[in-house]
Amino acid sequence: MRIQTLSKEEVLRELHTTEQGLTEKEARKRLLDFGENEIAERKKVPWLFRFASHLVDLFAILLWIAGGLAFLVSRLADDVGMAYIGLALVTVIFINAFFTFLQEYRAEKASEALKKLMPYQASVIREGKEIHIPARQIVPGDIITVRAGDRVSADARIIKVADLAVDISHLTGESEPQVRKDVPKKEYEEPTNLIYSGSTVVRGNGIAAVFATGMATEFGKIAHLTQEIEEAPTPIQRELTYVARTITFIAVGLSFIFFTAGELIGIGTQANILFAIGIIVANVPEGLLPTVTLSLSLASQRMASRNALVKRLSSVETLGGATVICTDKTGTITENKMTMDYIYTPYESKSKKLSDAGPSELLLAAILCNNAKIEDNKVIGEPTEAALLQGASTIMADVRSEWERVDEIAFTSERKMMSTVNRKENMLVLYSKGAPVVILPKCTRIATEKGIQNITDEDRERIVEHVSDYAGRGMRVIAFAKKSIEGEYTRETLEENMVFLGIGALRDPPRKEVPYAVEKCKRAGIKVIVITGDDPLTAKTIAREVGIAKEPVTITGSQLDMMRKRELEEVLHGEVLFARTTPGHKLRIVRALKEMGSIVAVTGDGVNDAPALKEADIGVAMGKTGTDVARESADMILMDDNFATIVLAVEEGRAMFDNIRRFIAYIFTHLVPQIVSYILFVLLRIPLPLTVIQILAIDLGTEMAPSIALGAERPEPDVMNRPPRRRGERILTVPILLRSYLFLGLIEAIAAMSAYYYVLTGGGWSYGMPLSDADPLYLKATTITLAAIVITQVANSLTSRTTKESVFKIGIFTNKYLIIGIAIELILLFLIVYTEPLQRITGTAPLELNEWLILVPFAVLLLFADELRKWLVRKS
Amino acid sequence: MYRKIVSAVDGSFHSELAAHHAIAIASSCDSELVVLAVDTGDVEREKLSYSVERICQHSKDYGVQAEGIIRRGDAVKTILKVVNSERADLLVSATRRSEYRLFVRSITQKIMLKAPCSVMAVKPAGIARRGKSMLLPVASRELVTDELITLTSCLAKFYEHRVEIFHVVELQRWYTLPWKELYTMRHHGEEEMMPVAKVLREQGIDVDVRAVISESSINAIPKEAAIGRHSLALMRASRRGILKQVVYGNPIERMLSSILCDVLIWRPKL
Repeated sequence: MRIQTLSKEEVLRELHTTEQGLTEKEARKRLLDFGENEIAERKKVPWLFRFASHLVDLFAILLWIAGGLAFLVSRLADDVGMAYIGLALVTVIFINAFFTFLQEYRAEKASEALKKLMPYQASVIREGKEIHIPARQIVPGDIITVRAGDRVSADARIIKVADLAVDISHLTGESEPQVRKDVPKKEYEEPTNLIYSGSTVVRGNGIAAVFATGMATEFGKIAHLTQEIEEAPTPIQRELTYVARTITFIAVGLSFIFFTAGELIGIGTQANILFAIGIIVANVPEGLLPTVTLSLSLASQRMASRNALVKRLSSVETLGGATVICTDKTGTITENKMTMDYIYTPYESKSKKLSDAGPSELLLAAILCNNAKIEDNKVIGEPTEAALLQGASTIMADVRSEWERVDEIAFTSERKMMSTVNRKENMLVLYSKGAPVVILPKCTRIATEKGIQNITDEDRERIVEHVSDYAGRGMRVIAFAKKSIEGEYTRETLEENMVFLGIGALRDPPRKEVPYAVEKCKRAGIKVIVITGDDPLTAKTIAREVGIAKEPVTITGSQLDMMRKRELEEVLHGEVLFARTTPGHKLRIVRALKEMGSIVAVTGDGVNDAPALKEADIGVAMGKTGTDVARESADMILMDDNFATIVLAVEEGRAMFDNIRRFIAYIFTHLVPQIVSYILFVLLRIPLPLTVIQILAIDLGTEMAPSIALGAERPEPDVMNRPPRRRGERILTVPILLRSYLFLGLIEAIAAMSAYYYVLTGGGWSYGMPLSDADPLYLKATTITLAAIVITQVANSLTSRTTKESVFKIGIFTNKYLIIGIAIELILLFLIVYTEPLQRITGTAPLELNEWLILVPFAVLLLFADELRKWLVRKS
Repeated sequence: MYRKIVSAVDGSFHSELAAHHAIAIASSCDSELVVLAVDTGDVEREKLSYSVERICQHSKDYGVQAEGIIRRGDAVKTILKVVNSERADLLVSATRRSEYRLFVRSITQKIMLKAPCSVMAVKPAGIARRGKSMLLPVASRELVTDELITLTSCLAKFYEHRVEIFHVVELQRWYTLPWKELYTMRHHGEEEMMPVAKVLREQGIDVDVRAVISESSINAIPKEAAIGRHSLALMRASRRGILKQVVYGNPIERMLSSILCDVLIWRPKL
């Protein structure tokens, strides 16, 4: 049973109600059965809990263990220094949790935006009386009254109506008011006798019987879906988890092995615990999460300046992986502005571009039979009329001042035409415009080059040919006619026996920058699929024009409804275009694409687009035309609604992936000298070359600025010429790990240990000699280890800018942020080495010039060694 | 399959909507229908008899032979008594909202625990069925009995619905797995359901099969019901240990409250 197919009596019977409405008692009972008429909000995890969850992720657990051990040693051995280390580690845990939280946080207000669309009060008939009640108390079977300006409180079937029109754009995206009737409809017909919760009454009034309330309404279903769709972690979040897992494995493994070794060779439990802490701290890249977050934040600012506002930081990187962009047509690919492009007049017998046309009576009709206005050079009015007035006015000067409008027979969707009666001096002329199928049968004569003549069958055929030609190219066709009036006239017979003047063809032209953006997508291996509510012909023409597809398979919404899952997957493999769809279809398409392994970006603007925006890997809402609900559900907002901006954002996302790889490789390199110093401490029983605090000074101090600067590296020129990265492609790959750990890391370790040995032996130390923590020689020796790591990392930051290309070719100074970053790194190093407070905290001592100078060759060696590697890679 | 079906009603609009499904099954299975109302003193007798009469009339419209019975007494005991005396094969009853619950501690739950015959708990969403398909969530092929196939087939034929067999592969942190692995798992899930689809197709039902990977079927099924715009979901009741119930809640309660279309929960005969 479908409620729209029933008669009024059947509807009331099915709902167990009458025109007098329910009794209060029955309404109360139904309220208990069906629940309140409101959008139920799903309980969200409070942000404090979400923040807290990052305090117990893998990195954090490792650091908690290290911190706990430090506090334990501090307690057992009464060592305040260890307590400081413990405190520092706990601080690091909180810093990392904060940055991770920042990365995935997105103000989630979609439910609030949805709730705003529901009315608070409703007029309802109960026990024969009209009363006002809170809208949440409406139940199925209630009889509601709606008037112009009201918001409808539930899904209802109209039983009585007076010129009712409603705006249901929140469900269909169709902005034109929809006329509602009270007569039964066939099952296959549009249910124009239903009104939906959340829609607005534009004009008229009506009485309707409620058949669904709360979450069971169409609007409730959208809200339900919007809330139900849970967002899985973005690829970068998953990658960071993977990195954390890998590091944990390495750190725990190394700690265990060397702790056991330490116990076996008998270095003492306290030293051994210090060693275990050192291995953990050295392995964990403490600065990684803040760096990733800050780089993403910088990238999002760059994107914002290019009209793409990113709501969730980690989405910046997801964009780079997009393999499919599902886009709307109107406003995104096209300008969302109708323009009159062509005209056809019988006396010129062929179609002409408007820009080539001269003044004509057709254009006069387009100006006079038109309610749009030009004010301050802006055209105000309904889009089609505005386009006609704008187009005609560019050819003909303002003719309205010469004519006076005497009468108007208005346009209605049933009549599909309008007419105006105009006077100029003693002349009275009727000008009409409308759909050709309506205007042409009302014309008996035609304006030709030989003057006004009777219209022949051949004339009609020729006109129909032109109309089909324009329509076939996806244009909207408007026919014009006139009639000279002599003496008195009656409105009923006015629009008959008219003279056919010609036709005008309108369309919404594509945005100029879109074809280039589409071309870029093609080169980048990104598929573009148009999903539009518009008709198939128009969509196909535009898709062809901008280069999205040559001969796409066009699937309409109703065809899609009949398709099975496998059939849909098959068409999605080829060139395809979806027309006359509703946002429900969009969700299905997005889901199918995701199941096929695609990373999907999808655009949307309506309330009903919200579920698809959430389901997609990247939901893109329109900034200009989008609703609050769409904006709240999206990951990115396009401030200019332009397709080309999505492509720019993808480019930025791809660069981000490369950059994250760069600074991960960079950060991982310095972990090797840190780890090696602990290994040598245990195996060779030398004094510890680098303290835990010094490790933290590097990880969270000197390293941060260059890492962030590497994140700001500009996209490489070929970034949009290569296919999207494979789904699941790791940031951390074996070659990257090998390069960081076994190649550059090893050079840094050799540099650090050589410098350490140089200072120690230069100060009179010999192997086996004990050295206290406060000994000036020991302080200096650890200082040079720290300095060696930082100086070689400067060279590493320069060489990390490219993976294959020589850094000298792209220019050492082309990333100004990196130069600033290196400057900050060196200033920080000097502050650590030469200022008293930092010396005290980090346990350092001033270095001499000759000690600095022995570090430089190592930096140069690292730079050129990697250049040699790149050269070999390029050659192979 | 069903010789006699008992539809328990309580005079409410809600229970009459549930009775429509009993009529649907009776019509397709050519069964006799007993419309039973228990007078517990809460609802006027007149209203009860009016409700029973209306459902019987409705049944006749669909060619179903229906008998109306009104008995006085305790709801659970009386229903069980009638089920036994009538030797009913299936009992259909609506779930009602009380306090914050739809099922737990309801009459329907008590009947479901005690009735010897098959029981179907129905949560009607409203009267407008706009979708053209029904959802059949299946946890495993072994749980699909001949009776479930018959029920599905009866409902699909009566409402002229397509059936979507929906299988959830439950997997924690599935999103960390490579896509190919997920694709293969989904494919295997669908393959596992194919024999069920085949049996239904042989009965002239249009069937689609979908498998998804999700952390929990309790979240995946309501989402699927909404995305697929299904007008009803038919599912088999599953038992959950007491500890699990304490932690995760009653699965039937969760399904009834989170699926927005009509939900039919079927428990096979004991």
